[in-house]
Amino acid sequence: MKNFMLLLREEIEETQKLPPQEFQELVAAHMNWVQELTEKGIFKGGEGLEYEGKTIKNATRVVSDGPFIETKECVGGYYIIQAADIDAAVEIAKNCPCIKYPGSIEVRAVSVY
Amino acid sequence: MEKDENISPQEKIGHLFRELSGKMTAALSHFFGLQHLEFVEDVVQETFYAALKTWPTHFPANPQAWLFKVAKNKAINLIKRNHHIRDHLIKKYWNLHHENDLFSIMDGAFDEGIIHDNQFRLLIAGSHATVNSRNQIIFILKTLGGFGTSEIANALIMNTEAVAKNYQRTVKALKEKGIGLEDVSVRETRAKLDLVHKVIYLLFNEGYKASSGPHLLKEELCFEAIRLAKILLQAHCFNPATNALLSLMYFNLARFQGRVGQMGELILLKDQDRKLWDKQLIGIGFQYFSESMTGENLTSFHIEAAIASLHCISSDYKSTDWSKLLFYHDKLVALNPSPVTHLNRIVVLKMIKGPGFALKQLLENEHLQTPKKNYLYFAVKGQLLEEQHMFSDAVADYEAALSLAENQSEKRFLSQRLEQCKINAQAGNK
Repeated sequence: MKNFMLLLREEIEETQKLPPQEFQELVAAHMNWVQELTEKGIFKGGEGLEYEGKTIKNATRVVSDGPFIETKECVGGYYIIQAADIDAAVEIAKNCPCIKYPGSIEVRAVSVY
Repeated sequence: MEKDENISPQEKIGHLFRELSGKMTAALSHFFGLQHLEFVEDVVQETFYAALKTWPTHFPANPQAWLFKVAKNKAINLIKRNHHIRDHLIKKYWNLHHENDLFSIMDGAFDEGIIHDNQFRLLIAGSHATVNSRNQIIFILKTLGGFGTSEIANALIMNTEAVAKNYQRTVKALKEKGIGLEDVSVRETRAKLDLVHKVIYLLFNEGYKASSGPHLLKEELCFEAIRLAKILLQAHCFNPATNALLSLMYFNLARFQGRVGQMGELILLKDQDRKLWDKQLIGIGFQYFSESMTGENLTSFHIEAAIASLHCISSDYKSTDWSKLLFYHDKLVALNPSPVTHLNRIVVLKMIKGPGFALKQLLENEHLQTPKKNYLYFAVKGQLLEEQHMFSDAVADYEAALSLAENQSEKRFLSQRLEQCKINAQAGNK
């Protein structure tokens, strides 16, 4: 078993427009999902990220506002799960509640050697 | 996360966000002032967004307290960022010495009792901001009910842009008229209650009307109307009419399941399966009904509730106490002489004196078609004719009714009657 990080990218303006009931259903769906994975013993952690932040360009050391430079999508949070291989991790990620909303999920194996 | 509980997170939260959206909107509209409703909306949305980011892995022990705390922090951040709003607030609360005073004022706005008062004030302000009942309903659903624009559009069978536009229009009117929440005194609002009752009942009927909208959402409108009426009761504003309205809504809600068939078709009272009526809701209806029996004013809600209660306790259509019903309908017509109350009375009259007598009364009251042609007149006339086997005459009236009806279920019902009468008329000619 390996650990995988799911980077959840969302279109923040779309998410923030959700009416209260739908917001709540989305929150509850995430909670359910985490609970489910926890019960299976394959949930290893995760956090949501606030949408305000700074980005530092390495070579120029220019600091700009916002984590999102050109794209509408930005990383809204991450989960770390355990799976046999990348394909299994992708299958799990496909059930993440945020899949129903605009955005994407990046699945990356946590490097261990 | 609490792992050892068996209930799912969704069950833990219920309709929390919608309800708290209304509460936070009331608290923040009071704090910022109604003219800054767009800030209020931003804060509420940002608060829910924060819950989305946090709750999946850190579910708070007290979700409501958590959301209120976050909303207050978001509002404080907004004040710190935005000089315009800070200046406005310093002017509004003129005795401010320090920014911290502002925060204690905000704490006060989130007090449960103060929230109730402000929900009530928001209800009054929304009802008085516009004369258009649709727009009143839209404003109230969005601010107090926590309904989204698209949900309102679906429930009211409108398009989303129209709902958004109408909402903005009401917000603008509030600004222009300078109606602020602090202008609405809870004690002086009894006179204004009539209009609020009317708006709540309209909202209920939007949900109750059997039409093509999604069934579940329609039921939610009914529950929202009930919730708002309860806010009126809680805002130290005891009023027999509010109790009468609540009992009427419960009596009607109790029959919700029985009145629409599986295909969404309208089922007439006489054909409804009364076993489907909800006894518990009928019981609650009677509790409010008895609470309404005080004071001196007999309102149309009282009479309508009395009528609904009689239907609720009759074991079948035939054994309904029709003469008592006629007594109530007479009172309703006297109190509120509209074509609709007259026509409903004629239907009851038919049950006692027969369709011939009722038809005579109907024809003597040609004015019931006016001021604008209403489908109910022709529908009732068609029915009275059909019951006397005057099928070809009934055809003409059902056709007229059909051309005037707007509601899908009613249209479907009328065209069924129309077809049946056509068949019967042809059979009679042979």
